Amino acid sequence: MLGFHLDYYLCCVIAVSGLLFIATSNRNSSAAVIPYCLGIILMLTAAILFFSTDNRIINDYQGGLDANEQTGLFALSTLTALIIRKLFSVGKKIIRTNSN
Amino acid sequence: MQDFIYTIIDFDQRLFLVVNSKVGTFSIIDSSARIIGSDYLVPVFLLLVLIFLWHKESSTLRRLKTRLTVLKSILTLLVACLIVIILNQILFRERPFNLIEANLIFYAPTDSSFPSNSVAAVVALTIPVFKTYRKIGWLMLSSSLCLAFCRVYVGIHFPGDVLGGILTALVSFVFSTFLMNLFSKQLYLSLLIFEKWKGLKLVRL
Repeated sequence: MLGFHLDYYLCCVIAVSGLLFIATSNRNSSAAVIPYCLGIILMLTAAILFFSTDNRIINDYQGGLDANEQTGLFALSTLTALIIRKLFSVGKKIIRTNSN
Repeated sequence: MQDFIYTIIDFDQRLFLVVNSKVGTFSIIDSSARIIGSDYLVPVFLLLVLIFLWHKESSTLRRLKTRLTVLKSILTLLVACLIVIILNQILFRERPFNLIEANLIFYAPTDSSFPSNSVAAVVALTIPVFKTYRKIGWLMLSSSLCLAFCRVYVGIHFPGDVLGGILTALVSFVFSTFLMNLFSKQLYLSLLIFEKWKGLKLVRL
């Protein structure tokens, strides 16, 4: 796709976004099926997208990620997903306020 | 004593050959083992579970308990990595494909085979959660053991390396429990501040 590092980062953002859908729907309501399904679909999509688009079984000195890079990129992608989620909920609040 | 060590090493190699000899029987199993045994699927899955646990509980008291477990998992992982680094300085074991005729269907790592650092890392993330939440813990443990098996199957670790990784994780868990108990009050207070401080309201979901 776009290079190993960027692919990993983007797929992690998608997966963490999916997880946040599940985590927040679980907390707010017991019957929130749509966000739950959306979350699972997003996580599966991220995994399929990552492993099907290129050869990912490569050593770190041949273009793969070493442990430090993985940790850093995963933390960054989690932060990005949290910011997206926050912006999403703020946007929803603004739309609701304007419609009322 | 030396004979005993040689017997164990011989048994380890025989066990490796039993598992690794199945490579090539079904291509779908080989591809699945390559993906499960990779550095990306199981570690990311376990980290996602930890993020889920961080946001899971609705009551403050239970949320604090869960977050302490997540922090303990991360601390155990760090200690396990440290132990692996120290052990790699002391001893070096060749990879199976360098010693015996193995079916290698993975990339060829160059670092020490013993202990398995990936198994030590994933089991270290799992043990604290397993101790507190059995259902989620079983899910994490089974995926960790799947990774451990796949690392042997694809030909990059002996079963003994995997066992060494699990033992490393157990030792690091004991050490991190000791550390967490030592600073439990401070950690609890920090989490409470994170939870209640209005200035941090913006970063909470």
